[in-house]
Amino acid sequence: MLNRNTSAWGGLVAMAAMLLLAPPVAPAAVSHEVSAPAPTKQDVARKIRFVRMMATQSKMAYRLEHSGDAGVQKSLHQARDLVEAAQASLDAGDMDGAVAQADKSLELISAAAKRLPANSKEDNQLRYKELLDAVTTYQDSYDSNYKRLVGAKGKAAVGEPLDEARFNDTVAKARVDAGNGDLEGANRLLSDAQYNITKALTVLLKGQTLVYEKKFATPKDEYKYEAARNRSYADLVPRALEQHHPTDHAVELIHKFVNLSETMESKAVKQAKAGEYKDAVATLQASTSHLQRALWIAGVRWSRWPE
Amino acid sequence: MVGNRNFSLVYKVALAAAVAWLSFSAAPQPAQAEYADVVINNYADAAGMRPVVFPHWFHRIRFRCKVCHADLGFKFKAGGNHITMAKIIAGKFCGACHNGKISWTVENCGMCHSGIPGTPTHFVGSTVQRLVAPPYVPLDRKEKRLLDMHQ
Amino acid sequence: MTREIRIISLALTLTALIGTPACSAKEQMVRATPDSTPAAVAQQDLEYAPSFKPVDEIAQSDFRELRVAQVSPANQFNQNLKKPREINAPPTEDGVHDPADEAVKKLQPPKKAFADLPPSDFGNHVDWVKAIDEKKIEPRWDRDNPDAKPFVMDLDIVRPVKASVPDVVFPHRQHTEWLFCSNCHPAIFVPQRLANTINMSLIISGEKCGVCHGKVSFPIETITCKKCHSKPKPADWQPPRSKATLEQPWR
Repeated sequence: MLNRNTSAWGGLVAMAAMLLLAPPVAPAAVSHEVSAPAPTKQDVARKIRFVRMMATQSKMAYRLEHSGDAGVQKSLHQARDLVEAAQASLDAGDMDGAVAQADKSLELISAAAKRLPANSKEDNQLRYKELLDAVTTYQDSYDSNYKRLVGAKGKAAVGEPLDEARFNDTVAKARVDAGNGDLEGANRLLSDAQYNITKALTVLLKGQTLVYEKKFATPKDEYKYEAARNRSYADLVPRALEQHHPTDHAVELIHKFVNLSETMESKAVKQAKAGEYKDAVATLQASTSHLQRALWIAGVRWSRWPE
Repeated sequence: MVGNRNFSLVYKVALAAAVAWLSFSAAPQPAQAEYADVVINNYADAAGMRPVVFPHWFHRIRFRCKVCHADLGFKFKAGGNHITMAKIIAGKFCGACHNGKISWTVENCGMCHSGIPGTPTHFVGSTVQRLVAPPYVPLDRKEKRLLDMHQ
Repeated sequence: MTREIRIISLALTLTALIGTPACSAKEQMVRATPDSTPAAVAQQDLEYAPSFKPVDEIAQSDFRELRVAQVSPANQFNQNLKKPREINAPPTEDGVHDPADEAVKKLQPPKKAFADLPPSDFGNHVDWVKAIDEKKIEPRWDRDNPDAKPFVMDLDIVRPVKASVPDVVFPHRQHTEWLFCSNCHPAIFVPQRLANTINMSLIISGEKCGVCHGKVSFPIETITCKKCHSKPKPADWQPPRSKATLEQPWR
């Protein structure tokens, strides 16, 4: 009792010292080059179950089976055999073997799936529509900017960033191909056209600043703009309600403001029909401020109430 | 020698107190997950897998936005791409790079399926989430019996 | 060996005891002795001018108690202010990844990747635009070709705002380093003057600029206002007033 093992206490003190100094250092010491820990039985069982589902029951397996490609079918059958082998290894207790076999089976399925044609018809159609929209919009934008710049700086300064003949040719050909059903070909051509017009726009608009001031040519244009603005706020109100979950009392107030804004909006429509665009604009602006208040009550806020 | 015994007792108490106090004050505050991580839980809960956590920061260092969002067809919507393992294995979406050639293959389930079970699909740290959404409640791990499901 | 350890442990003990947090509600009273009070000092003879007796105009008490109070944690300053959370936490501790998943330990901690990158005060706490401009990162423009160069469009769009906050300047350059035209045009923004309604309500709700900002690019916070609202109004700017307001100047 009297001969205490003070060297043991020395160890304890060293430990305490490490504890005191260690906390700021410990997180940095956790390296991500940790070797993978041994997989648990449940993880391996789950992986085998997943690979088996992929190899036998999935739509992809059906496609592979009925692809008509002998190589693909052979890979699929090999994959299925490997899955069963993996299950056998797991039952026998050989975890690493089971994992390796399941992984190899998955690899075979992946390689086989990649050999099949990539996109379905719906994907191609969607992509075609996207590309066509983009290409036509960029063309409009290019035309209007080109006109503006030539008017301001003269043709010599602006040059010809886009080979218009070739571009129009490509787009026309793509439309023809799509009409014939060759969507993949059409998409390829449209991608090429998109590449060219993007390059041209980059060169045309380099180093410029456009100021989008709200200068309207006629009161009618201003009315149209205000109507779109009013609609954008009105569309936001249901979204705000489902995102912010305001209280019942707040919801009552919001409905009041929304009803008020709708009354004013219909009044503005009548005024516009009668040709009084300036008054319609003023009414619409008042309607929008009611909607803004409704959104503010719902919780869509970013600063103190704007002036 | 007698003094030795009392001295050691003082050590014991003092060390315990020092260690306890210091470790308490150094305890980490609740952590902030990495901004822009996308938790995707469309089909994971039903399949008994952890939801996927996609780290934007890691991919942003290696690829510009265009590669995934224009070339590979990812939409700007958490959970809006309806990515399934079948599509990945066929080389679409994540499988366009996670195929063994550009990056590792899909047999590393836990690297992607690493979220806390029950977490809903969302952007971590998004403005909408921070200002708006009610706090989500992860499923009770015991009741979920994640690993026991397939005995 | 043991002697040195004893000294070290004694030092530790003392440090712990002395640095005890302010949990104990002890008061420390420093009592000034009667002899050192100004009144008493005034009575003492000065060495160089024994007849001089300075008059203490302000009456002082005989002793003063200096109380140094210890505030209990219930009355801490900024009681409800949330303490700052750890930023860029490693995956095992970030509250989103499941630490029970063994593979999470293999994931790279963000701090390691962000060590060389320019910092910022929001989002990932990395300034990604600066990082790419300073070539600290070289993300690929093409999945397979590391040498492909991006189409960078240098075009600024200035959108004047109705309120007194600075006008918005949208720079295409920084955005086209990362994005391609078709990411935004025409699906999110119609590339035409006055064809897009953009306001803060839409952005906060995740539309228009809010499709990315507030989700994956820098968030909408008070410190990031000036990143978009960057062109101050001219000195002679007046807010647009409606006809009604101008006719009723008292409002």
